Amino acid sequence: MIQSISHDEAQALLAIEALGALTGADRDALLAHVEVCAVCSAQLVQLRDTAAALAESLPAVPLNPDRSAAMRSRLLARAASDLTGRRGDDGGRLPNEPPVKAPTSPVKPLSGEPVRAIGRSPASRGGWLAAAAAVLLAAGILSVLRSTRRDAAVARNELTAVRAQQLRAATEVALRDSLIEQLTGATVRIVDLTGSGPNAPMGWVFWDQNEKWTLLVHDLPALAADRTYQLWLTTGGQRTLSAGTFGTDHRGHAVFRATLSLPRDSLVSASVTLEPAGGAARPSGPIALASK
Amino acid sequence: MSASDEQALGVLYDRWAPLVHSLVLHLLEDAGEAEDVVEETFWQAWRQVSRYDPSRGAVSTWLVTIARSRALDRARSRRRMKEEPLTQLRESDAASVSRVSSASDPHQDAEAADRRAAVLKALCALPAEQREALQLAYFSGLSQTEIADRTGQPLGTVKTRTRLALEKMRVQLTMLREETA
Repeated sequence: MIQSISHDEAQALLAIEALGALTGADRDALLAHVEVCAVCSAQLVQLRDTAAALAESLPAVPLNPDRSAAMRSRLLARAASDLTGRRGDDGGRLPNEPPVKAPTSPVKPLSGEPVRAIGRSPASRGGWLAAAAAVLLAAGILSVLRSTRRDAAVARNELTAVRAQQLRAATEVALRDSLIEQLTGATVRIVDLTGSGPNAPMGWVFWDQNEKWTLLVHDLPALAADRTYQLWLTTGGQRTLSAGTFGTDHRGHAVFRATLSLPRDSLVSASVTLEPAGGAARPSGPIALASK
Repeated sequence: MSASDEQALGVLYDRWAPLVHSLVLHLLEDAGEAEDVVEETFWQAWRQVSRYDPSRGAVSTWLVTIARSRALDRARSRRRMKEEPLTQLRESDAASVSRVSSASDPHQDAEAADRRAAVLKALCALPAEQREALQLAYFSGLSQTEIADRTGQPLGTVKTRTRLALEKMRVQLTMLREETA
């Protein structure tokens, strides 16, 4: 049975997992938490990329060009042979190849999120994720080109599928990249929200101290059909502004993104209230979450 | 690669083999074994490409993770791990990295040199004890308990140092990339 850990306990373990140094029950418990926590999932992806970047601190020691060319040819020949022999068998495995175990960064899709999309140009995507997408894009194109030579009709179908896959991948990367940036940017201010009740709902408001707001909530009670949750922001002048309404998924989780311009450092508090469907002009319902 | 095309394997190899080789050579200190691990890494990537999800991390992270794991397994099996990589790192190392890289590899591209300088700068910015914890974990593959034994520090202290070190690295690298964007 996998042990359950709190969000704070998980936070303390993320870096150790990213360095590949977490084992046993601690690792099982962390990964189980990460599966259901968007904050920890996003942070783990970034920390793993950071850990991998340590490899780039080393002096570059290039392979001997002749030996590298030979290795490259060997790999490609073996891959071509693998493609030929892969129909129904498991050929091509190295003699000492361990059981298949891909490095994982369990990020769950942010399902059920009532998200208002924030436009983002491709040029502003994170460099490394963009590099990954670019490599896959090149790879997909190469694959399509080969298929075209073999069979034009098959290639057309593959092209359609690959383009659709690339579009989905690029969209997902862009959205996730955008979310990560809004959660972890250098100027982002984080406001903790807590609630009361048996499930002790909790949440966080991430503000870029300009106009972008991201709210993550866990364990809010299920909404009746005629009710909605509403996020409120209170400024230094004691103005209370609505940042919008949102619902939750079946677990009471939600990611809500909004655009609302406020002067830097003007936020005093934040809260979430239960309001009639469509929202209210000012807070009128019970408080579900409030900043400390 | 996503469609299992061997030509795509060549694309990945051309882009990332130098980084993978530099890492595993550092971990193994044996040119022959390092070449073996490079080849094994790209072969494993080929075989397991369907498990790679671009939304879960960079391609380089995936390849480096495979390579590091294989190299550390080999290093552990012969109990000849390096234990003090970079602990004497100085601030001046970051400034000189481009020159050093150029001297050792005239074909090193500017992007890789910039990224190396950024990572070194971020490492140099860490307190020495945090950098040591990070490097023992990453380059020597030591567990937190092993690091505690090695450094004579309480386990909780080691965990805290490791966490702070990687968090600071993340923030530093983010800021440096934004500065150069």
